Amino acid sequence: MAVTRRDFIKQSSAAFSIAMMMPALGLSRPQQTGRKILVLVQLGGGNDGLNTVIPYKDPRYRTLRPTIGFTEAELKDTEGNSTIINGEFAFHPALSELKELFDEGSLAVVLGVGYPNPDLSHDASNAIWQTADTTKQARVGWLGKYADSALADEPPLSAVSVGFNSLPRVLSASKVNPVAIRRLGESPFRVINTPETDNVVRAFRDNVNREFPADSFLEKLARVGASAERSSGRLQEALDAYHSSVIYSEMNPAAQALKTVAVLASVFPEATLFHVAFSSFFDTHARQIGTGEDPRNKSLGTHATDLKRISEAIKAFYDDMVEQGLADDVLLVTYSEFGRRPNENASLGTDHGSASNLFVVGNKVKGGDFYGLQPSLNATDFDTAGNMRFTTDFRSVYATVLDRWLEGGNAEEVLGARFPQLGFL
Amino acid sequence: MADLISQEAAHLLRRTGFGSASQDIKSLSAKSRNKAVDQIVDYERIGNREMEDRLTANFEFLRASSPDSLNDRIFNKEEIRAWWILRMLLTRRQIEEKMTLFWHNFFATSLDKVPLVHMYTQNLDLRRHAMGRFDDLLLNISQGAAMLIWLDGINSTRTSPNENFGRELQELFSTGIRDAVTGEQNYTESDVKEVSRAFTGWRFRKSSNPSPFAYEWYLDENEADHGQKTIFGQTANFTGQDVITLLADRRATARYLVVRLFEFFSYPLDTENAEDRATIDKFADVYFANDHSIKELVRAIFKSEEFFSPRARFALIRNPVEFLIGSIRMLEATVGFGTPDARPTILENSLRAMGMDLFSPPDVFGWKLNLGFVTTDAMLERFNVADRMMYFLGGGRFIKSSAKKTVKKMLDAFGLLEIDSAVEKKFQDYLAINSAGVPVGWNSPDINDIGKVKNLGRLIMCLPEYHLN
Repeated sequence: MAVTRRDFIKQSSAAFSIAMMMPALGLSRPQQTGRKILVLVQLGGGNDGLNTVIPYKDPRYRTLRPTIGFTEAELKDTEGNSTIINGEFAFHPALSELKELFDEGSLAVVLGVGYPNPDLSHDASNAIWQTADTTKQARVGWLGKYADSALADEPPLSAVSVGFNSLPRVLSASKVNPVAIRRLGESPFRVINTPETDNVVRAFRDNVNREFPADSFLEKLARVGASAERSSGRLQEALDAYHSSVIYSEMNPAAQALKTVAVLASVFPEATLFHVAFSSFFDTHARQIGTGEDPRNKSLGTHATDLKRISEAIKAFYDDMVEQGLADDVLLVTYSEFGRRPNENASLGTDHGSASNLFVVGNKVKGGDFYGLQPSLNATDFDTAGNMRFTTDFRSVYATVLDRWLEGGNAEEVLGARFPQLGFL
Repeated sequence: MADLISQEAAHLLRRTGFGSASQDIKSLSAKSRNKAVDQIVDYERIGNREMEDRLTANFEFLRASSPDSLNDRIFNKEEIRAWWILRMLLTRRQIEEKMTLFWHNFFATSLDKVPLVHMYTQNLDLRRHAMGRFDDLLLNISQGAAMLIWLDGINSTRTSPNENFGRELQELFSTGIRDAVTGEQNYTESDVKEVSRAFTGWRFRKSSNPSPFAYEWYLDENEADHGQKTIFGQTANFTGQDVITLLADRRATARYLVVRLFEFFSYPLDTENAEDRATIDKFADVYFANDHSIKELVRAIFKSEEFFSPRARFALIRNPVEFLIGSIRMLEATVGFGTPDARPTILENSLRAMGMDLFSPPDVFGWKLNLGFVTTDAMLERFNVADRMMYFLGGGRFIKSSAKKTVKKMLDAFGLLEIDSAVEKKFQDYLAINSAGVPVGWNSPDINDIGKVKNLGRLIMCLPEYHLN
């Protein structure tokens, strides 16, 4: 009988308390477990989908974007390789690594993703995406809700947020306490007066392990404080236990964040959910192309730079997962609170839009393909704000991930309704 | 009116400032509530000369007289962060810095996009207008170079207005998306477009003043849209200034401001609750009765029953600045700072690690308050900075003849926390054990009393209760 993830975790968390006493702890290679890891990557600020997966053959694309839109001839990466996918779409020239993954069949594109009555506020739309609730009432994130039902009995590193100061709403839960990590290598819980270390740690634990009123600030401070002290030592151990030949660029914050995910995913058997945030980088109201000296150069500028970072980072992470023997167990999904307006503005940028596309990456993904329909660029098909109308409900992406990927996931329960599944898994 | 009891004085000082030494709490508790609040809020009367002198002596950029004299060595991110941290550590007008911090979080402009010089001048503007009329503050910040760059106003033209500022002006700086009391939508997508047109052509340039920090706003007539605009159902050829006046006079703006200020200084509100909606409206009335004065609004909040109610006491979570600056001020450990060889670099790094890098809020929404700061790695940094802080502190004055008195003395220094007696007892036990964990008694030669006292201070700073405000 195959060992299910749940059995494995049951065994491992029993083993865990003992393992914690030993320095080399459960740093067992967990790849045989068949567990399923999800890495959700947020392109914060509203990524310009039309300049990410480009409908270059549609004449209306260039009409709407005479300055920032790519011509067919410009769809080449820095090596001169074409980033055209087929007769309809091309990837942004900065996305050469993602194109490789697409060509290998490990990356799929979902088109036209959005929701009814798009909200153009970053905050409101983010709340919708992160809670999967278009009425903006929900307080718990969709992954938090999943974690509450499937990961409630697991050690703290089962749900982790990387690279952002606050815990994102998507991971806010009522039972589990996700851990936030900016980067590994931060110091552990320290006592400068070393002979007193054991005494201080014991007194500290006594204080945070008291009973506090449920759902109070005090309770949260105590729980997170306890988890901070406990996990800090383990993160150090993780760094020591992790080995990889993959190089993540030091200069690329996206790569560094995904390296953190790689370390945790390969060392800790309970690691299941990761959220990686790149906050507001993609809010390209102005100068999304070009530099001071070369203002019209589309292969330069903020959007190209940030897409390049994402592209390199995802490729490095994918390669690393292959090296760690986890390639079959990891699914990476990108998202952004909205796309951008089809019509460019006068600042070499784009204002807030609605429908956009996203990437799904992993060995098990039915990649090299597109799912969903590209929204029309006909002005008469736009909404009153001048934005494209969505064709794929974002909750269909979540439903697919919940029902076809995450262990113990139940889309209908988490999303509160049924949504059609997509074929990428 | 009766004098404040010391717990109330401590509460008032925690909220209007960062942290206060125990004698400040004592002296404030001899005053009535109204007198105490007036003394704090009317801070122009409090001289701050000593701080200004120390800052000028310390920071070369403050003495720069022309743009050429500014360079990376004397004017950089570390310098302006150190400058603000020192202000907060040394000022005698804590509420002035606290309000500046509030507005910094409100307008949430960041060094990630805006050049240093404009972030610095915006900080001066925030401080200058912190307690003035809201209209003046909003106009001044909107016309400042920092905001014009931050939300792309400088690129906004008549033929293609940029919507970034037009949207955030409403969503974040005035009415909010929905009315805090009625729940009604405050503006439409069409209002965003029309408001954006009113701000086209807004530009800035270096002024003729030789100071490297003197910039001025101007209107580029060629790029400004002078046409008719329909905003909130009224049609006229509104200018940006008109729009700001219009917004500052909307009831939704007053309510939004009240919510932001009240939740920063008092306690989180629940707009589902009728009583809280009434609270919002009560203070919105104060805003209108006092010609949009921020100072009178803030004064009314601090004098209110709500502010002194049990619901307000320890109802917030200290933000990292309050935690860091407050702890140092409570421990009266500011003396070492503000000398040229004692730059608070370590404090800057700590603030970053605790998730509150000054001049770099995470996005247009600013920092998420309260639980937004409670993440594992931010809390770990709080625990570790407490260790470092105590390590560098001379702890001798806390040593008393018994473990009980020592614990009491130390807890008093931390601003009248409300701590369970069982915790106090545990602390006493901690003082009385040797490093092998064996109880030997506080007066035993086996006890390193200075080391113990420092660790005790650190353990107090690790208490969940200590992170409440």
